Amino acid sequence: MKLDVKFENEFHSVDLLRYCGGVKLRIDGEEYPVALQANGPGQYRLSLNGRDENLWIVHDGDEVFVHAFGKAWSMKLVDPVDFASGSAEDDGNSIVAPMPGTTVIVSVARGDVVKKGDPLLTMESMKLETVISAWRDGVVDQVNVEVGSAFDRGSVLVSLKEEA
Amino acid sequence: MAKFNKVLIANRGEIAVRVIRSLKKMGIESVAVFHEVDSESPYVQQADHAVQIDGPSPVAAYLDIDGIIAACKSSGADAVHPGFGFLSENAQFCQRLTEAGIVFIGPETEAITAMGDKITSKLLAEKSGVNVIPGYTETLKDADEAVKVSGDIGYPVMLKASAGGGGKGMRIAWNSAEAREGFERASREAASSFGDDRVFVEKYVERPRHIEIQVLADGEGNTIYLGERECSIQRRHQKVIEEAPSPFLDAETRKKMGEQAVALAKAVDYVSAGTVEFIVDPGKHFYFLEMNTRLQVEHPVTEMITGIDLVEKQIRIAEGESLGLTQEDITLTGHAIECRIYAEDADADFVPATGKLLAFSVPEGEGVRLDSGVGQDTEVTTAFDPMLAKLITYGVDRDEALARVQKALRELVMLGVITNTDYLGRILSHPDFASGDTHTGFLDEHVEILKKDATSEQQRVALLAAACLTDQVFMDRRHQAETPLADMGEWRN
Repeated sequence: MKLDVKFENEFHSVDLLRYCGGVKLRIDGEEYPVALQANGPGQYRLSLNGRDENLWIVHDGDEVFVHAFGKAWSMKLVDPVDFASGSAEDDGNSIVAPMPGTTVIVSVARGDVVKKGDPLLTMESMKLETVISAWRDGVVDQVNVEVGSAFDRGSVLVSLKEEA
Repeated sequence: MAKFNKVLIANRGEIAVRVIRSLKKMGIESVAVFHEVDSESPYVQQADHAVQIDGPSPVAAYLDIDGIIAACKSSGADAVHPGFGFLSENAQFCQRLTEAGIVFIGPETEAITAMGDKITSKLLAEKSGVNVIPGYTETLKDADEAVKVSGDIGYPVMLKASAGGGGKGMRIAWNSAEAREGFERASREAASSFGDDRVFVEKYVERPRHIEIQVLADGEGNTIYLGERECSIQRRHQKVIEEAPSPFLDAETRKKMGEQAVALAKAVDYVSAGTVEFIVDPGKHFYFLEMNTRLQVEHPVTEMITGIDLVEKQIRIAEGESLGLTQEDITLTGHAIECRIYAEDADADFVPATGKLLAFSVPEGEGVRLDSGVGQDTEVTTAFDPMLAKLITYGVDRDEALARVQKALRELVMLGVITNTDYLGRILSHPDFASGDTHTGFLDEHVEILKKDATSEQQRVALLAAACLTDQVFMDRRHQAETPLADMGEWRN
């Protein structure tokens, strides 16, 4: 299971790795053994990098609020699978790759009229195939992918023409 | 002497909680009034009785004199505590209550009216022997007169255009040569900017400290002062941090200011708690600003160093009791600091913040007091001003009070609504605050306080880990990509 976390206006990827000894997290490519213990309602003790921290953690929908290091922090959790399958983007006109991957099928071309839910492309990432569908009715503008090509996280995959 | 059975609090939030606390201690029933948006607020839950009020807006409900009087009648309240803000300095409210046979816990109508007018209060202050900012309110004829009057006032002085505003047509002069030149330039600037070259002069108070005196008086004319509070840390003229005593005053100045404050209170036959505000320059010269005829937000710091419950005193005085204290009884012990906790984003130009308080935890420890209008699950909206709570600490000296408030700010947990606690911490840890070098321009001068500390990698990694490890979906084994060999031991890509 992987999550993208929006923190201080940047995206970070967090991956869970289970092994005999316990749990590791791969955060932005680096691996860390971790342990988390509940201390009371909303209170936890986190062990990471040989340090223990006491924190308060509350989830509210996809928002996470944390009190740690004497301050309050907030983050947003983004499930790349949900994100890829058609949730809203910042400007409503393009879909951006939430993680690196490869294009398996391209279902549209420039100028095609699409309805909300129509498949645009199928991508593969981490051995999972995901269909990316139109998030609104519209006309396909740019298709920046081709079958077999790889793309980076953050690259614009498909864009629709500006709504009238 | 009529003891109150029931007191209605014509206010909300933090101060309503405060008044209810003293009422409970005194065995007096409390009545809260609330607009619908406040129906789940802690103060409503804590009051013995609650009456719903209404208005075109939530704030308007708390300003509706008819509505509040009706609530008094329906609840059978003997008296009203007005808190601060809202109707607390509304002479008409005081008058209407008195006419309705309900006691207004505060001074009489005449005192409220007299002190509510800046010109009247300044004239009264002068007549009572209180220092006021020296100024020659008539315009200056020429540069020679400018020099003479400036000399009479005493340097430094500020030459100001009568028609001026926004900082234009103002000049500071430190000696007669500068007064002459300043007059000439100010007149020319005023003529070209406003078409009106008239200039007058008043004393310039440099690096002023806002220092106010707490007074307390009973219905028999016994009037005393309970030391001072320094409230120089202000952002856009709103107080942010207050302390008692002032790190700057000496005993002699305190005594002079206190005695003048008492003289002013006596001049209007003041009853109950009130505050006389002054500005003080680096030479310890002090000048009257205004008098607030109510309890102030920052009253807790005075309570901490005098050991006196000011709300309780107000209620006893309103019941007709004697003050029971002489000036000699008042001793100031230790030091207290208060921070105002606002729902605002200090990193986004202090835009007001909203949200539900999903986690709330009060710091424990010796000498820590939190006066809060919010609690677990309180919904914070923009219906009212953004002050949520006050964090106050006491110490045997200023260093101890400061260390305690810094620690308490870090331990105060308020999640779900952005607050200014980190900003407050940065102010408190500035070396000039620690040394007591505070003045009303402090926050404007120290713009570096606006910059928050960079997040370290250690912090970022820990926060990301914490967020994910507590997410049910993330931790659910069924959602993992196939890693058939994972259970056998560590693996790498």
